[in-house]
Amino acid sequence: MSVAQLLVAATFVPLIGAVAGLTARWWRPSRDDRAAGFVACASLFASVGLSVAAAALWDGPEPVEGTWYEILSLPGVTLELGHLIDSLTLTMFCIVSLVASCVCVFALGYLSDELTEEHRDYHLAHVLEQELVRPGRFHLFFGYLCLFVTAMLLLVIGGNLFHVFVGWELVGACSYLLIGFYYERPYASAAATKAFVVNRIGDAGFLIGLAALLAANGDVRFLSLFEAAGAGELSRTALLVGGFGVLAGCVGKSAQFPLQVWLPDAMAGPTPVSALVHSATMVAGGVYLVGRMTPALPPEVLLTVAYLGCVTLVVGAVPALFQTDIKGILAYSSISQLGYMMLALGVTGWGAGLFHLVTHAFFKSLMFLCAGSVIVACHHEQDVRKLGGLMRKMPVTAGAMLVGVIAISGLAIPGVSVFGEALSFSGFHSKDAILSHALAFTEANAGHAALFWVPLVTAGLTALYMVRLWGLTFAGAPGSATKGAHESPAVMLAPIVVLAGLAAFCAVGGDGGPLYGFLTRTAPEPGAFELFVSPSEAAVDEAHHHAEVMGLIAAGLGAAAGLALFGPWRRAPGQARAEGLKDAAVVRWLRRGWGFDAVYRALAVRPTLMLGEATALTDRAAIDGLVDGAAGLTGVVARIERAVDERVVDGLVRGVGRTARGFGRLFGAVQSGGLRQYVAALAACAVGLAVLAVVLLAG
Amino acid sequence: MTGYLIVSAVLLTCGVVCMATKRNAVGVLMGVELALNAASVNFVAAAEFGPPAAPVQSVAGDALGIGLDGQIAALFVIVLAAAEAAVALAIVLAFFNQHGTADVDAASELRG
Repeated sequence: MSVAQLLVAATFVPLIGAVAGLTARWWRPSRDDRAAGFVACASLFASVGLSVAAAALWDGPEPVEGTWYEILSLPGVTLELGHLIDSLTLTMFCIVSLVASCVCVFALGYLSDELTEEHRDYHLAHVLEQELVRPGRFHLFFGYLCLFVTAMLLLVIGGNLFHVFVGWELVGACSYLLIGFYYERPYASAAATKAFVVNRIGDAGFLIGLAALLAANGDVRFLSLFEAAGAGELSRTALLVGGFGVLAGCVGKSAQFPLQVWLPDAMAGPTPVSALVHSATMVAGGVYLVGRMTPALPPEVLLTVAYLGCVTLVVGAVPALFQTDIKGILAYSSISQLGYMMLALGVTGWGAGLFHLVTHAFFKSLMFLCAGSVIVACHHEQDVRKLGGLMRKMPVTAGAMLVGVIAISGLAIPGVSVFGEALSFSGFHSKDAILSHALAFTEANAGHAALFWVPLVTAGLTALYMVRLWGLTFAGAPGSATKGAHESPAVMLAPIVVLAGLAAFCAVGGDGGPLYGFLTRTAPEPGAFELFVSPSEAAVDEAHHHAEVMGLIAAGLGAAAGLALFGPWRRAPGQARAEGLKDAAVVRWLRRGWGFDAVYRALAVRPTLMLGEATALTDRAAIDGLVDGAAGLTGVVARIERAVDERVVDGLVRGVGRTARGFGRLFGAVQSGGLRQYVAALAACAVGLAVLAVVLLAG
Repeated sequence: MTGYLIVSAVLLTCGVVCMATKRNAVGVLMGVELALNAASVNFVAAAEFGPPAAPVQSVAGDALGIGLDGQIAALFVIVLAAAEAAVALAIVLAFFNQHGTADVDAASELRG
C-alpha cells in the first residue's frame, strides 16, 4: 500500500470504534460490558500501526498530494477534499494515534465506574450535595473518543484549508460531546458550551481568511497557496486577511490569548478527555495549522503569532502557580506551553515549535493520566491542598509524574552524559530549541528582546509550578484526602508507563536527533522578510549554547524555589503555605485566570444579554403591539364586513326571495281549487268584459 | 231574433248560476249543458236571422253565404258536449270512487 492509502486508512479506522461505541447498547445490551472499549482501543491501535507504517514507508522530502472529492468546481474556484502528506502530517498522525491509544486504554480503567446501571455522580454529591443516580455511559465515551480522533486525523491529513476546516469543526463538535460528557453537572455542560462558543469566535475569523484566500487564489490547496505566495501572485491584502483570519481560528482552537478562557474549563470532562484535548488533539490543531500555513503567512502575521504566544505563555503560567485543582494547574500549564509553540513558530523556529508540540503531547498527556490516576485513588478529590504524601502509596504514578515534571520543566543534569548526551528528557530539548530560536531572533532584531526574556523567565515559572504540583501531591505529609489511596490497576498504569517512556526519550538527540530530523524533512525555508530579519541557521546554532545554559539556569532556579517551598522536607501538609496566600485578592484574581471571564462577561456576555433583553422588549412592545393592532384592525374590518354582509347583502337576497314567495302565495291563493269560485270569477270577468266592450263601443 | 237572444241569455244565465251554485258535480255538468245550449241557440239564431257575412268567394268564384254554418256549429257543440259530458262523468265517477262524494268543493287538491 502507498503512504496515502495507509494514512487514509489510519484516518478512518477509528470510525469502527466510534460506531461500535455509539451502537453498543444495541449489540451489547448489558451496561457492565467493556466490549465497546476494547473495540475502540483495537481500532486506535490499528490507526497507530497504519500511521507508523506510513511514516516508515514515506521516502523523502517530497510531499504527497491527492484529491478525494471535488465539492465545487467553477471556473476559477475549486473546493475539494484531499490529502497532503509530508513529515508534519506523518508526525502528527503518529502522536495523535499514539496518545489517543494510551488514553483509550487508560480510560478502560478510569471509566470503570460507569459500568453499571446505577452510576452515582460523586461530583454532584460532593460539590452540590445533590443526589444523582444515572445509568453508566461507558460505551458512549469510547464512541465519542474515537469520533474525536477521527475528526482530528481528518483535520491533520487535509491537503487544503477547506478540508482542514471540515475536520476543524468536527473536532469542535466532538470536544463539545466529550467535555460535556458529565452533562448533568452544570459546570460541565457550561464548559462544553463555552469551549464550543469561544472556538466559534475564532472559527469566524478562519472562515473569513478561508474566503479571502479562496477568492484570491481560486483554490485553497496548501501547495498552490505556498506557490502563489512565494511567487508573489497573491495580493498583500489577501495574504494579510487570509493569514490573520486563519490565525484567529488557531488562536481559538489552541487557546491563545485572548481566547484562552475555554481551556481551563475544558477539564470538566473526564480526565482522559483532558489528557487528549490538552495535548495531542484539539489544542494541537491550532499550532499545527499555523505550522502548516507558515509559508503563506506574511511577516506581520508571524510577528503577531510570536507576540500572541509570548503573551499567552505568561497568561497561562502565572495562574498555574496559584491553582489548587490538580487538573487546573495542568490546564493553565497547557496554555503556557501552547504559547511557547506559537512563539517559536512566530520567530521562524518552525521545527522548534512543532518539536515542542510533539514532546508536549507526550508529557502533558502523561501528566494528565497521572493526575487521573491520583484522582481515582483519592476518591475524586482534585484539590492539591488536600493531597500529599502519595509517593509511597502510588510509586509508579509518582515516578511517571516526576518524569513528566522534569520533561516539561526542561531540566537536565549538565555534565552527566548518557549515550553521549546530557541527561535530560524530551521537554529540555524542545524548550531548548525554542529558546535558541528566540535568542537568535532577538539578536538579529534588537527591538524584539521581550521575545526571548519572557519565555526564559516563564521557563523558571514552569519549573516552579510543576515542582509545586508534584510536591503538594506526592511529597510531604499525607493530606486529608489520601486515606486508603493505593496504586491504580495495571490497565491504567500501562499507558502511563508507555507515555512516560515516550515523554522521556522521544526527543533523544534534541534538534540533531531522529524525531527532529524526521519532523523537519519538509520544513519550509524561512524567506526574506521586510519587517524583521530571519536568523540564519548558523546564528541559531550559535545561540544554542547560550540559550541552553540560560534555560537551564532559569529552570533550575524555578525548580529550586519549588523544592524549597513544596519539597519533600516540608513537614506540614501542603495547605499551610498555600492558605497563607489564600486570602489575598490578587491571588484569587490570578487563580481565576486574570479575571478574563469577568471581563468577557462584562464586555461580551452582559451586553449581549442586555441586547437580547432590549430586543425581547422591543419585540413584545413594538412588534407584538403592531401585530396585535393589525389583528385587532382586521377583526374590526371583519365585523363590519360581516354586518354589511348579513344586513345588506343577505337582506337583499332574502328580500328577493321573500318577494318571489309573496307573489307565489298571492297567486297560489287564487288557485283555490274551488270549481264554483272559478266559474263565478269567469262569469264576473265575462260580465266585466261585456261592460267594458259596451262602454268602449258606446264611447 | 231578439226573442232567441233573450232565451239564450236566460239560458246562459241559468247555466252559469247553476254552475256557480250547485255543489253536486252532476248538477254542475247540467249547468254546463245549459250554457252550451245557450251558445247553440245563438248560433242557430244567428244562422237564421243574422246579417249575411261579408261575401267570401270560393275558388270557383261563387259567393259563399253563411248558410248552414250556425246549425253545423250547433251540431258540433252538441257532439262536443256529449263527448265532454262522457269524459266529465267519468272524472266524476272516478272522483266519487276516491272520495265517496260528488261535491265539487271537496275537489280542491289541485289548489295552488
